[in-house]
Amino acid sequence: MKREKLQKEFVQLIAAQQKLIHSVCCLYYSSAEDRNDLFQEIVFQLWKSYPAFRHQSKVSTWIYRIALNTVFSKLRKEKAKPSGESLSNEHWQQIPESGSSAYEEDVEQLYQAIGRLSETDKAIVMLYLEEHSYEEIARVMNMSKTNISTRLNRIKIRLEKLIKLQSV
Amino acid sequence: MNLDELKPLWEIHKERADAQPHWTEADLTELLRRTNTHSYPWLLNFCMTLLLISATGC
Repeated sequence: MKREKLQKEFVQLIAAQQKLIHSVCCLYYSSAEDRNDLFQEIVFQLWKSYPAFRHQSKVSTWIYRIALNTVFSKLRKEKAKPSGESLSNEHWQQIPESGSSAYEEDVEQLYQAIGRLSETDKAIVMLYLEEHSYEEIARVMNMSKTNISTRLNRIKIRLEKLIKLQSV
Repeated sequence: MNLDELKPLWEIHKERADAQPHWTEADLTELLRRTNTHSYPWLLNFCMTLLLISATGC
């Protein structure tokens, strides 16, 4: 396929599916600038891998896999820097309470609790809440279904404790 | 606690994600053009190095 045609097809696909990328960006970064940088980096990585994408898996599975690998790699790089500004647990704890409603406050509580999970567990929760099957989550995360199931049980217990602690 | 209890809250997260600036096809094309252009200095450096090596013979 000619490069121009491939690029046009890719651009149409990303324009239609960009909500998935924004969801990942919002989960891992709180500042608009960081989210924008991450969005661009993810699109670039997707574009690099697009010629090899054979549509054998769902488009969403492919997007999540590349997006999460990009996030993990970016966070690793940031953590390696002494003055890195990667998303840390503390980072999320500093988010001002912007919610005017009780519901908004609940969402902040959710972000803070999820923010305390490991980067991998955070991704698993996101995929679970996005209603992906265990099989799809396993494919995105490159883990076994059993591993995903075990991790989700542990995450559930940890989140429960974290949310209880926050509400005290 | 059931993780499904978090789903209503997750809907709010999705609404926030939906409210992010929308990238049009033109924006995305421009982004790809910029990222493609960024690779040119590398290519230019590589070609210049090859040229200098062949010109100086070392």
